[in-house]
Order: sequence, then C-alpha cells, then structure tokens
Amino acid sequence: MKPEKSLEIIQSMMAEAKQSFHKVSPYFLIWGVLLVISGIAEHVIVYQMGLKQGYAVWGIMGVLGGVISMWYSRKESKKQKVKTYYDLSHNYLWGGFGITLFLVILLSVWNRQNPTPYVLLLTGLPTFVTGGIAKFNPLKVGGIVFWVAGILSFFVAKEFTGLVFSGAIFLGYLIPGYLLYKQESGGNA
Amino acid sequence: MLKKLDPLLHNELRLAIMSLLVGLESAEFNWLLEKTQSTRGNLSVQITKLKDKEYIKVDKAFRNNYPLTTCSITNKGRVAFEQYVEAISDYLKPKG
Repeated sequence: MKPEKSLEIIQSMMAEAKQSFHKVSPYFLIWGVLLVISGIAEHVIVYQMGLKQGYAVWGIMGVLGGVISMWYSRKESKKQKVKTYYDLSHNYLWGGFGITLFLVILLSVWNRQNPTPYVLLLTGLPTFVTGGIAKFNPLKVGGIVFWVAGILSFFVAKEFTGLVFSGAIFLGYLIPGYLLYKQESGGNA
Repeated sequence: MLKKLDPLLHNELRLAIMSLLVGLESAEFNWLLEKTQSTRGNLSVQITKLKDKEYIKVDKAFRNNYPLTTCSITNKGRVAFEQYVEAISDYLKPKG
C-alpha cells in the first residue's frame, strides 16, 4: 500500500467518524418550553393570584422535564451505534450541572433565598461550553444571556424574577435550540 | 532515514478501523462494517488481529436478545496509530 493511499484512508475514515454526532437540540427544546411556562406560571399564580402553591409548578415541570429527557435519552441510546467523546463530555457536563443545580436550589430554599439568580448564573456555564464544543455561536450567546439575566435578577423585585427567567430561557434555550435543531436536521452540523 | 511502517497498521482495512476508532469512545461492529464497506468475515478477522496486539478492545454483550460487539481503541493502539501517521508523513514529505 502506498503512503498516499494510507493518508487517503486515514482522512476519509476520520471524517466519517466526525459526522457521527448525536442530536442535543431536543433537550434544549423540551426544557425550554417547560421552563418558559414555569416562570410565567409562577408570576401569574403566586404574584397575580396570590396563591403560594404556585411555586409547585417548578417541581412539577422539573419532574416532567426529567422524565421526558430520560425517556428520550433511552430511546436514542438504543439507536446509537457509536459513542463519541463529544457525547461523553456532554453527558458529564450536563449531569454535573444537574447535580449542582439541585444542590443550589435545595440550599437556597433552605436559607429562604430566591434561587432564580443563582440558577440563571449557573445555567450560563454548560450552555456556553456546549456552544463552544459544538462550535455553535447561538448557544454561546445563550450562555451570555443567562449570565446577564442572572445579574439582572439580583436587582429586580422578587415578583418579576420569574419573568426574567422565562425571557432568559426563551433567548438562551429555545431560540438557539430551534436553530440547532434546524442545523442538526439538515445534516450540516 | 525513513521510519519502518507498523505492518499491522499498513493494511487498508485495519488502518480504516483504527482511523474510525481513534476519534470515538466506542463503535459497534455493524457501524464499522457499514463505514469500511468490508465483508463481515474479513472485518471480524482484522478486528481479531488488532485485538490480539492490544490495539483495540472488543466487548461482547446482548441487546434485545441479539449479540452486540463493540470496539474501542486502547492507549497502546492510539500511540501506535500516532507513530504510524508520523512515519507516513515522513514518506510524503517532498524530498530534497
């Protein structure tokens, strides 16, 4: 075998492996929809209607999002013939984020603090990193949106933090998630 | 002086397998079959050769009652692949 042929095989096969990514956009869309609804629902039920039980919407949507994400992940993993390092780093990043998020919310509520600003600041990190790894600028911008919204929510009145949260999720998850979905579906990612 | 090419990697199908696996955490046998456009028997033989030299790791399991073979590159395999690429680059450098 000539060296030129070796090089041709190496290049073509590595290019094939590079294309074997898995779709991550459905997660942004699932959580985007659920969390936008949660922020608005909190504002309306707790602050407009005066019902403290409205906070339960976060728990309900959190469990619902977790169940849908796990179902989708299991369904997809059965179809996956290849595991990439991108998938691996993605799983660890978002898995670690989920654990940190759970602890931050738990400790904030324990300390009678509003967790929203911390949740937003924290969400900026994996969103920005995923955008960087995927070389997808709308997600990087999404991460920055979360950081800005996190700072903003420290200064707005408590009744409006749910709305700031919904706005940030719309700009940071839903719009980039939809654009990523279009790119992943087109096979150009 | 030009470096000697690793005879185990200097084979079209084995080099293709290693080139696919080097960028992945793991890949299933059927995916390798599809990408290399080889025959089941030949792919199986070449995978065994790479496995015997500990260039790749082969895991056998079951999914939905069907046998499932998964391959992944080892550190030894990764080093050998990098050395092969380096050696090939020397061959391709313009002489002078």
